[in-house]
This record gives sequence, structure tokens and C-alpha cells, in this order.
Amino acid sequence: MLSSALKLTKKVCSIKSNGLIRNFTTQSRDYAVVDHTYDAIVVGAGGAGLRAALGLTEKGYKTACITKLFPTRSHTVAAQGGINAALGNADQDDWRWHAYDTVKGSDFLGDQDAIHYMCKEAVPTVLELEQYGVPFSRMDDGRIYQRAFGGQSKDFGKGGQATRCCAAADRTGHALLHTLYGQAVKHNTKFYIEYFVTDLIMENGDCRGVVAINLEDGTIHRFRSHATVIATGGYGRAYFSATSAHTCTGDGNAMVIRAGLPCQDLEFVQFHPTGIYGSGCLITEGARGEGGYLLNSAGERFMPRYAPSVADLASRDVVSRSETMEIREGRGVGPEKDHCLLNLTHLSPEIIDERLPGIRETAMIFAGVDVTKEPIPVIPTVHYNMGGIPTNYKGQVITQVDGKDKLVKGLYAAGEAACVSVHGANRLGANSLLDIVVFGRAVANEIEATLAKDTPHKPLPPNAGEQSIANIDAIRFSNGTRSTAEIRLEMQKIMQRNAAVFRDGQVLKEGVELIDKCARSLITDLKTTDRTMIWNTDLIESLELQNLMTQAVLTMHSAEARKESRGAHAREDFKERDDVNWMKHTLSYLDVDTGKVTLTYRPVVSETLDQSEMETIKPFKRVY
Amino acid sequence: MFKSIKQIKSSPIGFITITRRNFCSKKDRSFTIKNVDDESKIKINNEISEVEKLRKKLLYQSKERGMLENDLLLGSFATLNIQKLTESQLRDYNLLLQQPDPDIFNWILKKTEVPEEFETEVLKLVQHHCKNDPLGYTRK
Repeated sequence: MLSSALKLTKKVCSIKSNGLIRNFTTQSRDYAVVDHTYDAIVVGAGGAGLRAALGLTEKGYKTACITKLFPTRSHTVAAQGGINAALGNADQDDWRWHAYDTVKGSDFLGDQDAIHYMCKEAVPTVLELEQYGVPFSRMDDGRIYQRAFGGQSKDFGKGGQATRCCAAADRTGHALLHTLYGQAVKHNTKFYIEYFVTDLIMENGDCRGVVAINLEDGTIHRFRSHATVIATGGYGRAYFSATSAHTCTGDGNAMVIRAGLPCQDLEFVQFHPTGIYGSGCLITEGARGEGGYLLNSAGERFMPRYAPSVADLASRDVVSRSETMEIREGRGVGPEKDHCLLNLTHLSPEIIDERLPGIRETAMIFAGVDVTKEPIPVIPTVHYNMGGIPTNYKGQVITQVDGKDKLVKGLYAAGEAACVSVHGANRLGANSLLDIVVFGRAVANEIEATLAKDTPHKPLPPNAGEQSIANIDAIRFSNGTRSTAEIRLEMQKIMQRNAAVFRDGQVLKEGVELIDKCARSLITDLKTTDRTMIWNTDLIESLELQNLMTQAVLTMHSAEARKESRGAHAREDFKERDDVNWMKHTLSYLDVDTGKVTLTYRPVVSETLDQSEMETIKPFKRVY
Repeated sequence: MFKSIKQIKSSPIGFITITRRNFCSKKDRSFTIKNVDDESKIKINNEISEVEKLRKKLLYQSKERGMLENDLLLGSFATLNIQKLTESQLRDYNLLLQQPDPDIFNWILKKTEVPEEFETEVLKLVQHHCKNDPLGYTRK
């Protein structure tokens, strides 16, 4: 009986459909399914995921952490800046000043209750991390060393630069992951490493668990839990140029979208002006600080036209927008005229080596240029996604029913994947590492408050996971005309051209049409070659492309709809911030099969958690 | 439309069989779930050797890491070379990939000293790859 179940029947046929001939094989294939049950599961093992998993196991819940990468290889590892917390070690400080900076930095799209929570909880959270063993850099007297960082001020912007960024040398991200992973293992968190979670299991609008593939042996695993925490990070790889690792594909956001739930504020994407064209690696702002300048195809130093007084040292979004304008107006360089050049050839090699150590090597390896002889090809590069899965400040996922907020039972999110929203329309440096640990911790606290231990489990719905497995099967045997890499590149180029720094009505409308077409192409034309289920990178990259595509479509549609400029979303045809009509969050839904996008809106929370502790900051024009 | 689904019983192992008749229409799939009494009889139709599995695993672990620079350097190295490495080199490479990313970056670019146990043939191959146009930019 079993042997007949495993027998493959192969039959090759071709049918005509819409005038296109498609070849496929009819086969019976078996997928072994293994079921697991936990009190709580965490998807993703970066800073937020590990902090949530650790918190949950500490509190006595049977917890599983499922991750497609070994935990210390999550993208958090690349974080070098540090964590903001108003400890007041290097200088006088107050968490309310930090909250003010964050609200202003968000261009008033941040929810003030969440910002209140994050800045106030920053201090105990960082001290807890110290207890767990994160090796922070220290001052001579042993207290945590803090340094200055952009966008941080004292006395509500009136007291000058604040020094509130804590770091562990230049390896803060790695140190954080290493410590949290060690602690989680010590507390008996069960890790499922190199398992790729494909979808949520939903029942009547509640989240019951997830479905995952074990990459090592190709088995399918269904996890049942009372609480599912999504901490899968951002989706920088939807763009051609991104500083994020190739793993940043927004898997959690896509799962939520496929479950019929919304994502929030996807149009807000943060760019860094000088990422190397092609690889996406960052060229530090210091290069311009030491005298480097940007060039277009006419060999012209163009920044003085856009920022007469500061030229190449203007703020990041101004420089990014100027580069993009040059490219759009036809003065880009390269065969596709789609990037600019950063020139350092006028600086002596000694100065370059002394003030910008490592840049010669970085440029040679990642750009293929010798900086003393040629300029570096650069392009505005995606650095962070402010948007994501909408949650409240406790980490509970929100959807809307009949225009009213409704919590999704059993589902939580934290980290870059979530949109709490603390960063609003623009994120401040060193606030991201803070965000992930504060809200990873908050989720664990909230689950403790609402979930009794040993709560009995109901059986999973009988068809749980079918759609997901059917999708895996379809991709695994897809036999179209275009490879994953080809469709992915097309999507990335559309996003880079039409939904990057320069946005206006025409560019965005064109982008909407192009991205919808690309999304349809993914459904009908995909071709994969590896038919096994063992370490199938072709399959994984295709699943990741599906995930990226959902977010690319929603980002483009959300950006086209928002008719104002706010934070990172800047439109040439609507240059001002419009608080009357647009001080609200965008919620975007996608029906993957039909490609239909639905946009609704919900208000920004201006009430803080406690007006006597922190007063609401009323909107004002954001200038630095 | 789906045929009737048999409930997975208390045993945690089951099979989902998919018969696919039409690529474009997800609705035409039928599913049957069968019980399996003997775990040892589970056999995925993936007939590949242990060495081939290791090669595929190392390819995945080279291309998908948390640090972009390492993704690019190790990913390009593995894409070009993983089929050519000997078994012993594969084992050394496996060990290298388990180390912290900031350290791997420093070692493959010879920025810092490499601990003795990682000074292997394969590391030299990776170092050579990194120093010689690893991302394949054509020189003018």
C-alpha cells in the first residue's frame, strides 16, 4: 500500500490556454507531514525573535523558534550603530527627550503611545540586556559607554546633541544575537533551524499556527500554538539596490498578506544615498565628509545645484532625491543610465587610507574600481522598511473590520517586520535595535498577561496547510519560460525606478502598471529546475520572490495613493506634508490570485500612554 | 474542489498526496491524507547522495547569510566552486561557515589573523577568490 503511494506516474501533456502552450506533467507526489504543538512559536531568530523567544521560555511557556537561518546569521548581525537609551551615562538625559526626537523624526506618523512605551522602556530593556551578558563598551567607571548619533537631541530639541547610543564596539548586532541565542538555549527554547515557514494557519480569523518546510530533508511541518510571533525582518530585497542581506525577503509580511490581513505604511522606505551600484554595499557618508563628491554623465558635480550651501553634505534624503532627479532627467551613467558616480580621485591615496580606511578595498571588491583612479558607481540604496505588519504597542496584530480596529487572536509581531508604529515615516539611527528588543520583550510580556499555562489545544482544521503545500508543489514543478532570477531582477528594477526616492504621479502610475504585470508574470511564467525537496535553493528563492512580490505590489500602490510628502515618502507633485488629509496610516490588502489591491486607512495615535508622564507632541514642520 | 480529506489520526506523521491536473488552476488539486504506521518507511523521492546534499546545503548557507558582504563573497565562491571541492574541502568549508560572520569577513579578506584551525586549503581558495574580482566585474 505504502509502496504504491510512493509510485510516481508520469505523463507529459500539453494544453492550450489563452493561446499559450504550457507543458506540464501529471504526477502524484507525496509530502510527509509532521505535526508539533507548542504554547507559543516565534518565526524568525533575529533580535526581536530571540528576545521574544527568550522572554516566553523564561516565563515558563513551551516555546519553539523557527528560523530559516542559524540565529546568529540573522540580518541583525550587520547592525553596527548601537541602541538608543536615555541612561544618562555620558551626559544628562531624559527619555521624554528621546521620545520627542523620535516623534519628530517620524514626521508625525509615529504612534505616540508606542513611542512613549519604547523610549520609557528603553532603559530597563538595555539594563536587562546587560544582565543577560551583552558585552557593551564601557566607560572607565564601568558604566555603559554612550555616544552621539544623528537626530538625537536634549531638552526637546533645544539643548543640542544628546549622547544616548550604547554599543558593543562595532559589533553590536552580533553581540546581541550571540547573547540572546545563548540565553534562549539555556532556558530550553526549542529551535527549528533552517526551516522555512511558508504560511500561517488561520481559522475563523484567528491564527492557529504555521506551516514550514524542513530544508534538510524536505518534510513539511505544521506547528500548532496559542500564540504566533512574527519577527521575520524587512523586505529590502524588493529593490535592486539594498544594503540588506539576500535573506531580507519579508517572509512574515507576505504570510500575513496571504492570510487576508493588511500590512501598514509600506510606502515608507528609507534610502541611503551612496550604496554601491550592483552590490548594494554602503559607502560611508564620511567619504563625502572628506571631500568626495557626486558626478553625473556630463562629468558635472551636480549637488551645488540642489543644495547651494552644503552641496554634497546635505541630508541623506536631499542627496538621494538629487541623484534620482539626475537619473530621471537622463544624466545617469552606465549602459542603462541608471546610477551616478562618487568621485574620490582628487584625494591623495594617503588621505584616503588614513581617513577612510577600508574604502579602497571595499570599492575594489564590491564595485570593481580603484578609487584613486576611477569614481565609484553609486545609487540611492534601500536601508530600512518603516512599514510592516500593523500592531499596537503590546505587539498584537491589528486588522480592520467595518472600518474599526480589531485584534487578530493568536498573532503578534515585533521588529522590522512589525509597524507599531514607532518609526512612522522615517526612522532615526540606533532606534531600530532598540525597537526590536523592546517589542520582542513586550510581546512576551503581553502573552504572559493573557495566556494561561497548560491551556488545552483544539485540533487544527482538517485542511490546514493544504494551500501552502499546493503552492510549494506548483513552484517545485513549474515549467514556464522565465527563471526566478530573471523575474526578480525585473521586479527590483521596476521598484528602483518607480518607487524609489523620486516619486510623482506619473512615475508611480507607470510603476503600478509595471509591477502588476510583473506579478502576473510570476504566476504564469516561472520556471524552476531543481525538482528535489532537499536544500532546494531554487525553490526557496522562488518562495522568497513570491513573498517579495506581494510587498512590491502593495508598496507601489500605497505610494501612488498617498498624495503628500512625509518623511521618506517624498513626491514632486505634492511637496508639502498634509496633516489635514494624510496624517493617517495606510493599510494595504492584496488578493494574490486576482492581483487586486485594497487600500484603507486608520488614524495615527496621538494620545500617549499617560499624559502626566509625557504630553502629546503636536505636529510642527520638521526642520533640522 | 477537493475530494474528501481523511483526518490525520493521533500519530504525528501523515502524508499529503497532491495530484495536479492543471498548472494554472489551484482549485483542481485533490488531496488525500494517508497515515503512516512505520516512520522508517517514509521516503522522500529525493535520490541524492550525502555528498551532494552537503554541497547543496553549503550552497544555501553561503548565499543566505545575515551580512550582505558575506552573502556576496561566499555566495559567489560557492556558486562557482561548490561542485569542484573535494569531500575533505567540503568539511573544512562547512566548519568555516559556522563561524561568526564578522570573523569570516575579516579572515577571507585577510584583515585579521586567522586562527590555526581555520587555516585550511579551502580558506586559501576563498581568499584567492575574494582578491580576484569575486563579483565578476569585467575590467575595461
